[in-house]
Amino acid sequence: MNGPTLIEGARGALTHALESDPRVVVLGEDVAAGGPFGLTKDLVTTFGAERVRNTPISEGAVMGAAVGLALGGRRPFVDLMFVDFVTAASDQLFNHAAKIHYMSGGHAAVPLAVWTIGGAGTRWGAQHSQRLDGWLAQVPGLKVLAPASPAAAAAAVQAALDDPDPVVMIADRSLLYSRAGLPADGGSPWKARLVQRGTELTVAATGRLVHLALEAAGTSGASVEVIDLQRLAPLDVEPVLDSVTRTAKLLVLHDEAASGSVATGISAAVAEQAFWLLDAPVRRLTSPPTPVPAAATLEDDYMLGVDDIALAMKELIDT
Amino acid sequence: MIAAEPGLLLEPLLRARRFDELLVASAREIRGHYHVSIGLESTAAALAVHRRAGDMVTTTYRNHAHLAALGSDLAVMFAEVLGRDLGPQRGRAGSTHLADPELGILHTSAMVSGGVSQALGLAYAGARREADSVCFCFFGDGAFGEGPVHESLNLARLWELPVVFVCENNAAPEHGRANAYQSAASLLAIAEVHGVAGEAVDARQPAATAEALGRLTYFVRAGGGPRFLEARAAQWEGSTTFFPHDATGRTDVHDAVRPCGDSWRDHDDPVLNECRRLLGAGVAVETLVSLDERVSAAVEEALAAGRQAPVAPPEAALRDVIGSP
Repeated sequence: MNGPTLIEGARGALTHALESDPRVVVLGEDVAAGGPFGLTKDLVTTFGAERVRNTPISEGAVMGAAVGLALGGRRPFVDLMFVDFVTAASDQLFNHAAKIHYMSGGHAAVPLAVWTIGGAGTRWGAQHSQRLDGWLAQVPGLKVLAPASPAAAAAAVQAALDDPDPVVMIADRSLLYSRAGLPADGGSPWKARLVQRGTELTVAATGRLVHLALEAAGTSGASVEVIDLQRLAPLDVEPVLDSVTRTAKLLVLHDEAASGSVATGISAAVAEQAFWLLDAPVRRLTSPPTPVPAAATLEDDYMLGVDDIALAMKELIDT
Repeated sequence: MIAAEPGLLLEPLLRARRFDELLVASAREIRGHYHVSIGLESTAAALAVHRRAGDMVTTTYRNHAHLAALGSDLAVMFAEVLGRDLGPQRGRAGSTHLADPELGILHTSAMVSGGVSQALGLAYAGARREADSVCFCFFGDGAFGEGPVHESLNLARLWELPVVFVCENNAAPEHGRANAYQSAASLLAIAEVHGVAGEAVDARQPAATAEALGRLTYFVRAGGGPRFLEARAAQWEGSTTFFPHDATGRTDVHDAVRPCGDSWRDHDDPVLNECRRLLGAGVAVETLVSLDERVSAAVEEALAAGRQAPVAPPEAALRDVIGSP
């Protein structure tokens, strides 16, 4: 397969932003060395250490400095490395970035782009493998994007750097070096997008699970409509509701525990607004309510796979 | 040297003091939480002397003195604290988040160390616009209990950012330590460990505080990297954890010319101490009284205007969560 990887897609958009907008500043651990996953490879050579700033391992103060930069008219882009580290930066993200526009009466803006990765599958253990989508999405004032393809990652980076609000991008760990595109590539990152049309069932998914849903549907031969949620906050429910009017059945996939998750938000919205259109209860397929285990065998069991998804599809279609 | 002119320090000190006194007297109208700056006004008055257009300021939940001293619209401040819809914040900020973009105060955090790391970014952004602009970063002694203060001191020095850190310290030293919650001998010593040089000053004395802030700001403006001021103030008796109360009565400038028999008025009150300095330099007491009358009248007028402002319509609370859909 040709074309860029997801990381290369994101880097292309970041490079373009650094070229075209002198306000853009990149902050993060090892970003001048190319970043832990290659996102900022060679950028320091072109743009200099003032704009591609290595930081100490001080997530809290670095996020605060980024909030200050944004207030001061710059366009900070923070590479937070792992979404797990949001915990260390959460005061500035949740209490400040998310609330400053509101508390200012709409006068102050915090155009802050945060890039991070999440998800299991690489044996990093419980503190470097979770997703905190639901946690982030729950805070009014934060926007959350979850790009599922190289083109979507590029669009997300560009959109986040153009946006007046704080935007957290969570890229799926297992997609970082994938070149797999999606049929819906090229559209806005701010909308949930229809990836595949179908009649028997709607599947709403995020990140790698969009690809697994397509694979499971292809194997089963069923007519499955697949939606890439993409924008997790504010949650874009409309395309899901629209799809359910045609299929009358909904399966929601998400790589985090069900309680308080994005999957639960989608499920509740559809149950509230489209209950009488449904031919079967909404089904959620999520991670178990445990931390992510480190051992390869245990972690593989923890993660949703194509077989789990195919089975849930079949059960729901047969209902 | 700070000249013996009442307009220089005493006027901002009185604006701040009279604002908070009236607020405490109107506490029933606030229907919620608030903090006052009484006893901590020296740093605010010093800021009023040294702040230039283009500088940024971060303050704390005890922000009233900073805004009042810098000349923020007191009617808007009263209205915001009273939950009314007059200024740009429209009742969504309240006492602990007062801000004034015109004065370089773009946002005020009520998390104890919340503004400290933001000052780094504001300084970074500002320094690229105007070569000698600085960010004044105010925080209380309690902020040293939180990690971001230590991270920020380190970062400010590492990146040589033009930040003037001002710690308003009203905690009492004990057993050779800075206070009951710090192991270090002083808060200045902690800044110095991070490579940020500075001074400690007796912040009961506004003139000394303004001189110290001036020295440090000079170095920061000149590109010397960050500096740290530990401003040692006395704790005002009315500053309790949540709701302040009027423990010392309305400040009477005549108390500067007579022994009062209590430590607050005889030694600790920065307003009275500045009065004493001016009187010692030959300013007539009548001059101080007349300045106070003028300031007090303006503050009372501002409270009346703030009270008359409308409350925001309910739907206003749903707006401005995000800047673009």
